Amino acid sequence: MTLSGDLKLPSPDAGSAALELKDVTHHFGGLRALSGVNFSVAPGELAGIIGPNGAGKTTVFNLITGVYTPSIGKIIFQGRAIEGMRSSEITELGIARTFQNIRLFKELTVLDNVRAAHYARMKVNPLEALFHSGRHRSEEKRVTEESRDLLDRFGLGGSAGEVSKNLPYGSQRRLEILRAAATNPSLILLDEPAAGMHPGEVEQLMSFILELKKQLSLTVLLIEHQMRLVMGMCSHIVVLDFGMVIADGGPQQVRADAGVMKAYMGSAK
Amino acid sequence: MRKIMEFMRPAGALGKYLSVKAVVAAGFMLALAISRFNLLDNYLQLILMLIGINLILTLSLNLVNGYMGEFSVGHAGFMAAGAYVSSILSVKVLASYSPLWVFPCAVLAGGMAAGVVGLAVAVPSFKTRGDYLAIVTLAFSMIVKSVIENIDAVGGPRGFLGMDKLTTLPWVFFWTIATVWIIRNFIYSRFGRGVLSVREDEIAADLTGVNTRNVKMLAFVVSSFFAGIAGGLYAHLIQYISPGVFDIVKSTEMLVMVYLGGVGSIAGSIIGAATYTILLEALRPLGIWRMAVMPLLLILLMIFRPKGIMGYREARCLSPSFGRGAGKEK
Repeated sequence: MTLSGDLKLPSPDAGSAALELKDVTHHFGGLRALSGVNFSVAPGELAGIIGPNGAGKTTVFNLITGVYTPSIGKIIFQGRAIEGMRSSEITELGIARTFQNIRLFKELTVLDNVRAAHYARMKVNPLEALFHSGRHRSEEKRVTEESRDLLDRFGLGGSAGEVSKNLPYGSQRRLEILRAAATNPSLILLDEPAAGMHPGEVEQLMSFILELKKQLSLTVLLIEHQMRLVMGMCSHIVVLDFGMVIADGGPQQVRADAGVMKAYMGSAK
Repeated sequence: MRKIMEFMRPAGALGKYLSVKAVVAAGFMLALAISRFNLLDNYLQLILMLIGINLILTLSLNLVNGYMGEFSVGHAGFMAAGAYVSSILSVKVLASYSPLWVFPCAVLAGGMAAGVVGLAVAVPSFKTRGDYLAIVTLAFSMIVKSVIENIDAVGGPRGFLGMDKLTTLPWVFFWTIATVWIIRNFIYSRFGRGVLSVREDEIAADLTGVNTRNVKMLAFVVSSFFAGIAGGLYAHLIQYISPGVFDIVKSTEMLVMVYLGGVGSIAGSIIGAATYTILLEALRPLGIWRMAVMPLLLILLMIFRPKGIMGYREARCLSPSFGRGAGKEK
């Protein structure tokens, strides 16, 4: 859609996009899951990816976060090509994510789920940790306080000591988002955050995400099936179908798009 | 109210910390007295020391199998590395020095050698995700055994002897406490949480910024280090080591202790090591059937309590909330 990228040479800060996918193609064996996907997310934006089942939405997330390496194409995060990097390195750069089927550290407490996400930002070396040095203790204290603070601010402070698998479903979703937020990202990817929730819970989740985005000044990219959530929250929507971007724009624009109608409803004739 | 709580916290924590220290100091004094004045007969002292050594082994294996959720079946190999290196040092290299210095240095060197060997095993094993560790460690322990059997300088299959009986109750007590303390520190650190997150969900761990490969290698090296320490203590207690001592049966013994006491628990490791060691002695009248009872125990355990007595739970005095006030509030 955007042609402006062709006019100037890409330099670290030129793109102004937080995330940019350039011609990303991915094959699983002989199956082409994505072909030539181009889109970008501006800093501070709340963008959504929608599309029918099997369109390749989660594959996009897996490519961005380094679970897979794209067969062809570039993924630029803050002016830096990140394809082919280790997942943990990408997370360290500032991209965090959640999963379609919740993947908490089930046997760990709520607090430890969040504290585990501080790993990359902590500085102590193994010897300091093994021998319980002063620096280790003060860092532990700081991380514990920060984690508690995050949980308190977003309504999970009361269950900090609970084993996370015992939380109700909605709280598990929120904890997973908070765990992602605890890695100190600038971009957060949410994979169907409202899956399996009833309308009242979806409402709560929407305000939860908006509040998190505001307080931590995040850029958000989410995959969602619930149209109400996507149309109500996202200022920018990318529609995928059969591994291709068939529409990219604001909610009104996407809603009116004939191709999108066709993908979702079938053609009129 | 909250202010008061905040104010009280350090004082309470300090009090508890001191009391743990006091208990440990008293225990050490007691161990010293027992070995100095022979307050217990030699057999009982031997059992106590074996409990300590087995506890070190159990904790070491629990770090990999319980906390990290990987499966090592070759820890006897690391024990062998520690046992042989420390014995060779104390018999051939450091023999002319005072045993007061030789012994800790030899044991430490044995642990370090085992740690280096552990690193050599960990690098290829953790290159990719998945369950290769069981096979790699199994093969590794066989390699260790046959390598030692073929080195004539250390006695080959006949074994190696000549060590003085340097392992005493206070030393075992010291190393046991050190192991518990260090492994506990490790578990309640960023690396420990990394290890636990690998067990829970390795992909999610990677995607929350945990460098899973480094964390796994680190845990494995720490684990093999302590298996080596236990090997050194064992060698200087029994005063005879041979490749046959460190075969798959020894590794299985460690597995039984871990899964008896409880995976992912220090308290469980203590219970497992103590129960197993004592049971093994108590069942001596059964003669050869003794060795049939143990596997049976393991089978029953797997059926009725697959995570062991303490599985994933920790005694309060060993969890960090006890000493640091970082635990539950509500």
